[in-house]
Amino acid sequence: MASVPQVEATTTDAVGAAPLALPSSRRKRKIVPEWLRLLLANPKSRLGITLLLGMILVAIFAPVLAKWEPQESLGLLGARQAPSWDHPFGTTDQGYDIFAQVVFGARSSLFLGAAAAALATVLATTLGVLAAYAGGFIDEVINFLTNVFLVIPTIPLLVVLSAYLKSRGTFTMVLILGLTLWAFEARILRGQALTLRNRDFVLAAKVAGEGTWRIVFGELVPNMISRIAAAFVLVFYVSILTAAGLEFLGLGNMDATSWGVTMYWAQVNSTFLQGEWWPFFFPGMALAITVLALVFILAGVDEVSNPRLRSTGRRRRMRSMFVGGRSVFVPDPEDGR
Amino acid sequence: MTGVVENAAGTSRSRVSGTALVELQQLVVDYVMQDRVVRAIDHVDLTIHTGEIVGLAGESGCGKSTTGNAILQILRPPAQVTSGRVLFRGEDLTKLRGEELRKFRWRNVSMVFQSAMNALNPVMRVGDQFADMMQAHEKIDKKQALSQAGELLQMVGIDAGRLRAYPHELSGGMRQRVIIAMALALRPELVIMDEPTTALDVVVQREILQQVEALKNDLGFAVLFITHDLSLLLEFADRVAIMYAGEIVESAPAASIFANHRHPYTNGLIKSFPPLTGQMERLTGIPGSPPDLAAPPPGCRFHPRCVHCRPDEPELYRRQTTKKPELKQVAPDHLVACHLFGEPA
Amino acid sequence: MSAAAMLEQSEHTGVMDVRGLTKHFPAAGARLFTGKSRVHAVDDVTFTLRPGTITALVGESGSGKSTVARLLARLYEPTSGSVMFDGVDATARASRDELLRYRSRVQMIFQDPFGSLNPVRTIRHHIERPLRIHGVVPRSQVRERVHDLLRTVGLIPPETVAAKYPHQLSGGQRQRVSIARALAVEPAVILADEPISMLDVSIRIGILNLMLELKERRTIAFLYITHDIASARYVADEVLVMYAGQIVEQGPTDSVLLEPLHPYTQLLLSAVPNPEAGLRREPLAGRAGRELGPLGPDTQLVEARSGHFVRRHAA
Repeated sequence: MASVPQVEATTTDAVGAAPLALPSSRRKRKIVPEWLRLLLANPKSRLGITLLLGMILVAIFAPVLAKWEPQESLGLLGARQAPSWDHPFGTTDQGYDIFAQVVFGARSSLFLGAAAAALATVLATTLGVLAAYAGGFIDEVINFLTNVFLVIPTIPLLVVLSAYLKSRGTFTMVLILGLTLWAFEARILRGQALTLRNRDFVLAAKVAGEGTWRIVFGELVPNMISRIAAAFVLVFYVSILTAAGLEFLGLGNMDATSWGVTMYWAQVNSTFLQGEWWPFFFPGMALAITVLALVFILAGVDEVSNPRLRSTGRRRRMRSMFVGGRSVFVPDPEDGR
Repeated sequence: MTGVVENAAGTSRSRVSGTALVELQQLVVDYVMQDRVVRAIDHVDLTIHTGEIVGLAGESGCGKSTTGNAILQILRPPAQVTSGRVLFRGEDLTKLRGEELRKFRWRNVSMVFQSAMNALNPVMRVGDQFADMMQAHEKIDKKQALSQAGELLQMVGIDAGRLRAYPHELSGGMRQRVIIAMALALRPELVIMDEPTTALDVVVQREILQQVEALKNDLGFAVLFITHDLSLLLEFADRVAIMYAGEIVESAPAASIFANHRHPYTNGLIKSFPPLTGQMERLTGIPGSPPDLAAPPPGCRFHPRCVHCRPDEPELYRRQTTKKPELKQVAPDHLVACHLFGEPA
Repeated sequence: MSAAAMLEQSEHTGVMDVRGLTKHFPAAGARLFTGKSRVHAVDDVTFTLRPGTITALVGESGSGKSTVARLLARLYEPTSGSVMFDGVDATARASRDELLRYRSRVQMIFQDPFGSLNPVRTIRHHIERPLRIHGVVPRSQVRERVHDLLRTVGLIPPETVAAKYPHQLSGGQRQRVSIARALAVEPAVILADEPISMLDVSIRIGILNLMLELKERRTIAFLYITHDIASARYVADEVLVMYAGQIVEQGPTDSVLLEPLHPYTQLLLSAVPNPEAGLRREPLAGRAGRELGPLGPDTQLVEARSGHFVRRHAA
């Protein structure tokens, strides 16, 4: 192919006097990605990230932290011990160390939550954005599918499935949770993709000849990262809570070491009625802290993606020019053209 | 100074009385942020006389909107008035607070924004918004307010029945007229218009501006017309001030700007409008782009883009790159801030 | 000209023949309160784009000019009419390959410099994609071609620019990137939808000059859509004036703009700010009393002077 005829550009727009090397202080800042910096700057998400990180570390270092195995029987004498130096969280009715159960339980909760969130997010993103971009028949079909899954009540479905399924292993749980929780986010992501799909850069990609899938994953999804991240975090903590709830009812994976299971046995043995609060309290606290951490992170993600929600720094307000002037708004000079 | 002012075409336009209505004296507005301070307006002097149409022209980021906001004292953090005075009939507005400021706003000076949809509440009927606004300023009941609102709408050429409409039911041009009517409700002495017709079609724009001019002649208010469309100002305004990078670089009657402009930026700007009639020639616009106000060029802010700034005239070049030019008078009522004109200090 | 002859002429000559292009959108009746229709309809539009010329499509908002561009870019399907290009009617349903081939010949530039580039992608990505999709050059030459294109549109040094993200460039620079992207496939036709209306005044001329250069050096056919008549006069060889979906006047630039025949064209021209004319002009009469001239269903385009057509009432 002939080389490009060189058109002499008589009108140039030189990128200008910008220095080719950034001053060193600004260079360092580039190592930390913008989104992480913003998340860390936000007090809510900073707390959330810290707590979550702590919980992850606990899960990873569980064997080091716990003196006993979670299923290690301490015999009748070792059972029902109140918290002590030896057993910081006490022991269960069956004689298991609760501290061990809690730190090892973190593994199953976190893994379950993350895996279910990943599955649900992938499904929600793919189907939601495709529906928004493709429109027409594909949109109808996906919407129908989404509605079906939305209409089915989650908890009863989970209960029924769990009751019927022979295996209740982790894999099954992840599958069930992912499949019941994707629809909600799919609808939201579809909504956001709809606002993006008529933006000029998407049309430009189409006119350039990009195929549908490349536009979905190459143009739309990269602009929806914060909403997708929010979806992930949301499904993450809902999964953890739901799994714990199922386990508490005896419908989850009862062989696993997890917070829900610990609390199940505590409830079955009516320990609370006998004044033994520790088999409930500590797993419950762990659960609460983890979910709280995720909720805080979610709040941070929301504020990062929607600057109007930020409580620190500039707050966008609509100002009225009159007292009692609820009717006339002065546009924010920063809103500009 | 009383006199008849001519517009660019040489036809007489209006009688401008000598009273200075609003005076900006060495006004400085900064945007103070965590890591840096950006000077949006740098020691700006501007005078608006009663009954005069003053045009403020410039491109995005030059500070013209900020100037309008500064007069009405509606600057929001991080923007602040660092120094200088905004005088209204001699009274320094920067010293007013709270109730006094509120009374002054809309009654003495009002504002018309670019996009009416930003200024109108979409879920309230137009008439109700009018009444709301008037009742906030005067002790009248709703019925009186609505009847006055009806008169105002008719003044701008809209049927009073439209009071019952919601904003989205009106066309863009009509919405803009509503905003103008609201701005005139309390008979202010100065109306600041910030790109009021930019989003409108050319025909509607002309109709509205003709209407504004007729109203101005009737009611006697002054107008500060802020826009990037210099060709519009040359037709419509009595005097024009050109802003660049937070400073006023030239200020003169519209006819002089058109026929006799001095500043190279003004020249570049005027030459950026292709002629509608007459000889057609290749234009060049202005190379480069406006400076980053966080770190403006030293000396004359326009010098990196100016064809008259060349190292082969060392004395001039030194001044252009180190000293900021001041506004100097080069003809009656014609000021220019450029090292090419006026005597060096 | 017969259909066969038209087809022959359009075979890879870069000539685009638009005939009777029509697009009706379903209107939500309740929203129409004003006299002027808000529906972006196109009504029986006919014109020809030739290589090495710039055709300006001038009109106010709601005139349908943007819709024409999107129809020609095959972003919408027309209600009726034909677009003959490269020996094919571009309004017919096309296979993926045919569509891709069309897109390698017909490109588009959009109005909003801020919205037409993907904010999370580098400039390099934007220009590489069309090169890769259409296989314009072998893989090894893609990088160099990206730099060539950036140089062509005046963005230097190209290596630096290519690595940047859209928010790091000014509006004018972004539009140049959009032009470079359009040029990547070496198109015969470029549809420019209000490319300068969102740019600062002093930068507009630069972009217009770039268009003029490209038209001359690469014999591209431009369709320049705008509401700014003065800029149309500056760049265009032919002008089409649109109102409410119809062409009301078309012909060589100076013939239409300096000696307009249709009342609507005359109205438009009299409304444009023109400091030289000043207030010598009559103020416009109120809208209700204004006669917009022959428009609507009972009219047709008639050749009034050589190549200069005007809409008149059907005899």
